[in-house]
Amino acid sequence: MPDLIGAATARLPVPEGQYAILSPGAEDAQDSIPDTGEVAATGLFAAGTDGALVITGTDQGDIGIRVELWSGAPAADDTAWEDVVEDSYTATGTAHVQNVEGRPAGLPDLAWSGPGTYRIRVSVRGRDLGADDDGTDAGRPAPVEQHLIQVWPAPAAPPHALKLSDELGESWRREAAEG
Amino acid sequence: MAARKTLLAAAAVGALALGVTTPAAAQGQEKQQQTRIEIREALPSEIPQDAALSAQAAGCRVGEQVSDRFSSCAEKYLIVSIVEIPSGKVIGTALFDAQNKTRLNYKSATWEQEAVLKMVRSFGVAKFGTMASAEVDCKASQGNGCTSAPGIVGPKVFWGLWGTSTNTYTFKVNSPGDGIVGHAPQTKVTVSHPSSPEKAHFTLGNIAPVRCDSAKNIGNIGRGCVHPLVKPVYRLSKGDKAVKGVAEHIEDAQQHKLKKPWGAVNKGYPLHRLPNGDLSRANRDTACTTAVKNSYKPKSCDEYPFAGSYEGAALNPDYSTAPVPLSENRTEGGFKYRGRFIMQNRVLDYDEFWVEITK
Repeated sequence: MPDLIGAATARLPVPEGQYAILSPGAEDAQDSIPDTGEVAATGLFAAGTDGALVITGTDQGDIGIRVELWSGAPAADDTAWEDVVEDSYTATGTAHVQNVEGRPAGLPDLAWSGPGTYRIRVSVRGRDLGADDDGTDAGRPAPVEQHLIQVWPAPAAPPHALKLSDELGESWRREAAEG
Repeated sequence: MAARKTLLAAAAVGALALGVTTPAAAQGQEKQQQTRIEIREALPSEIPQDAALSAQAAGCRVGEQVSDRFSSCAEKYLIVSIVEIPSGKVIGTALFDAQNKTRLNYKSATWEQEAVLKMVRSFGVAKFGTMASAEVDCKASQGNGCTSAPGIVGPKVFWGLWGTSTNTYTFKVNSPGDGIVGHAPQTKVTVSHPSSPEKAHFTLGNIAPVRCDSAKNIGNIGRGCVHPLVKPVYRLSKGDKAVKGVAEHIEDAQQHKLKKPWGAVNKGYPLHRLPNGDLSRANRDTACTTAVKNSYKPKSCDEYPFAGSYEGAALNPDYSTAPVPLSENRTEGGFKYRGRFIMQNRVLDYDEFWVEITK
């Protein structure tokens, strides 16, 4: 059984419906973030070297986000989540969650065992509620949209969608397919 | 070097031959100044006809300040005169082209400031041994001011025998601290000549004000500097498939749908950046209501002026919405497009900017 090394939660403002994982101190850190087009295969998440991009349904508001650092692959629970996608992230430095304005989420360094390749699993629910929200979510104790990011050291592997079910992701994938 | 020493000696001899007392020659004699050095801005009639062309090649304009978000040039022509006392006879003149320039960096608290002095013409004793030093004066700054290294550059000698003679004075200017600070550094030159014990001082043309900040809501890139009075232009291309629908919507809004051409370059209605918060959310929710969003499905609701501007829908009833593909909506607002523009131009809260749609 893999060990849970650490975990933290935060409320992250997501202007423009997205956030990134990157190495803030790196030169031209934003250049390492995958293009939005690279998310098309899953409609949720894509990762590479020193950069990952996650698409949210909420586009001017907050999401709830939890980060879990693991020693190995944790069991996947796709009953509690609407979309679940894994991809490999190679960190040459630190790896932090940050929104498009650059505000750090106050979450721990995801590259918890130092530079190397990690597997990141992003599980989400409430993206469609976040996308449809018209302001009634403002001020709620917990945002309607929730993200779980699980990270563990692992060799590089292709992206893998464990579950795809929400309307937002489906819409994104359809747009990409229609070109 | 030997040739230069000989020329300096020749200058001193020439000065003596003209009846001018050098500081050395004045020792032991009556302490009366026999020449003085003067400096003033050249009259338009004194400026060479090809000045405009050479200024343009350097990104400058004579008698004006030319700036973009990261560079500024102020150019003037100066006349240096060496005048015999008490006769008032001018025994030497030199015409200088003086450029004062900056090169800022959006992710550095240090910028390069450069004075380029070019002796275009010289007559009489000014031909030999005219010298100038330069320094950056940071006094006209807020807060902790700025610091310049080195403190003074020069004096450097200009040689009039071979036509034009150019010297460049380069400084690294730093904005300390982590606040938002405005700087108005001036470059001062001091001109001297061996024949005159006094020196002449002149402040070069003012470059555009500099603003340095360490804002946390423009991409978390540390401290950097811009010329804030120059409004940056955010460009989107209709030919860029990744944002085509958004670009077409903005163009339609600027040209047809809106009462005023919000954001259109130089049309008088710049946008002002609004960082994420309750106001930007209110802008979004006012423009893209649940009803509007439902009517646009499966496409997403795009609004202009941007929710991330003080011209957004909650603050300005003159707005437009349109259905655009979700991926384009996210791409345009994302890290590689508007996010990068805001970061690379350090567009802070309430900073003005233009939005230009290209083919």
